[in-house]
Amino acid sequence: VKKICILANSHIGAVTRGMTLLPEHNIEQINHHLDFYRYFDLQGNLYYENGLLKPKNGDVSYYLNHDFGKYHINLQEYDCVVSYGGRLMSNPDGWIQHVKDYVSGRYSSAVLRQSHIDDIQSNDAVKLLTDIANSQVYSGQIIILPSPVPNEQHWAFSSVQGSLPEYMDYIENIYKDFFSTTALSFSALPRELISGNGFAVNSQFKVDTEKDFMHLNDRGGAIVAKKLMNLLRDIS
Amino acid sequence: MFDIDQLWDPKFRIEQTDKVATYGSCFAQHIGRALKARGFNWFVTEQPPVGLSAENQQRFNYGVFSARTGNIYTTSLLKQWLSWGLDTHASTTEVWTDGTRYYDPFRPVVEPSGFATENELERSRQTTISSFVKSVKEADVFVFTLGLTESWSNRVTETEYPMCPGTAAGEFRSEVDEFTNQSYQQVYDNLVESINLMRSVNPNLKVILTVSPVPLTATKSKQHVLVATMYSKSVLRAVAGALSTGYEYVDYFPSYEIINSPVYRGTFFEPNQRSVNHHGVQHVMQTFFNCMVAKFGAYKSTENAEIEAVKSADDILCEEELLANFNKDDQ
Repeated sequence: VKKICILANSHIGAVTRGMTLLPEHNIEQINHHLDFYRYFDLQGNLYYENGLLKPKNGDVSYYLNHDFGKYHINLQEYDCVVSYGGRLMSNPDGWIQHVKDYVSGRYSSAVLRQSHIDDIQSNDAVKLLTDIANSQVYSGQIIILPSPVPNEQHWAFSSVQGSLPEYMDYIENIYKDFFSTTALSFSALPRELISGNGFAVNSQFKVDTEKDFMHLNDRGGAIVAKKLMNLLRDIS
Repeated sequence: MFDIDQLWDPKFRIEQTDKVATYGSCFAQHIGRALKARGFNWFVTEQPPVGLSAENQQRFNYGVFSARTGNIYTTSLLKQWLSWGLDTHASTTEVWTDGTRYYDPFRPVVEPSGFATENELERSRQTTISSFVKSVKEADVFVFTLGLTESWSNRVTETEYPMCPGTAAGEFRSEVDEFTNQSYQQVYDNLVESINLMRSVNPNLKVILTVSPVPLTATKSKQHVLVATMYSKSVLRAVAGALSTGYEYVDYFPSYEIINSPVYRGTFFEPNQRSVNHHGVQHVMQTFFNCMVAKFGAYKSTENAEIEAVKSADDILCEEELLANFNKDDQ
């Protein structure tokens, strides 16, 4: 039995609920113990020191103590760390503006590519996981799974006309190239989530909350859960 | 010597809400930054994409001038940008390539590794031209730092390059590329035409001229670079003075004098005797704002000014610095 540390934010809710929608064999084949650490901007509120993930503030400290009876997360207890969310791709302002910048024709491919890389490098989850990897204390696998991009019903997409069938390939290639030079394993968002426009989550996966264009419903969560299970199945 | 004041009697007050466009040679980059740091409305019309770090904005020439023109060293180059933007008949399609990447002859360093395709370059150039035009049409004040009299142009297409072909990009073609060391009259005429062009689309535009205090790195004039520098700066200074005297909406700010006057004993230069150090930059810009305040009254306080002021003078983008590398190779 492998022990998996999952660092997440509110997006994990749909995933855990979605797990209940998966066929039995999807779960049964995963003979792992999963610890879900879920808190608002969790990755941005933790820092890494000597094999431990420690809270940056009292709120996260209280959360860890209240929900898990601990003051830090000892990564030595885990065979794998998975980060889900951490605003990687899910920042609505950033993602939507990236799409607009792409279609504007104002920027060179080199500038656009660099803007994505700078975005990745400034991401709190990436910084935290990089600290873990660079410490060479933790030897388990570190997987980064981005949270969903905004839903196609987001009002800000209304100014983006047409579809971009190549867009997710374009983005994934940038992310994969970047992470190929790190010790982190990047796993792309499941394509089943993406709308026909090529750059937003399909409206059928929108959570049933009027002004929430970011979170998935349980059916969308199940798609991510399936991806997560497949990833964890390969953990040796 | 740092107490010398009243070096400038500004003709008009720049309000903090006024849109101020800045272009010109390397030294012009300090003006935009200083305006922004002091809470003025530095009018940048060509914005970087979301996510691009400050370091890479600088690397790709965003936020260096109001639009991504790169350095505009000469008044003829300024007129060329204006004609591309405001004259529907004027245009250029010239592109340089090394076989794999494409370089804009008129902005040779804005993309450090060149453009991926010719089409990408052309779209980027048009974006810059339209951003440049927007800054001209909508600005309240246009600050232009005159940098050089020496220029390189294509005698076939009659277009001017900011750098000698083959330095920052491209290849030198002796049959095409032509050197000119512009006369007072050429510099004057091009600047008058430029200002007239700008005011034809923005009749209320005010202009502040400065002369870059940075000496030439190299010269093609067959004179010693020291002599060539003195010629160049003298012409530029005289033209700026003539326009400032002749036009009520044109002013001259003496950044050249502040850095180069003997009374300052070369204090404001780096050890290489060419680059202006951050004390010099700070002193020039402090003088600019002090004189404005002395004549027209105080502005509301600006907290970022000191932070910005201590930034090194090294982190400006100066294409002409590339020439220093050629010089090293020769030695």
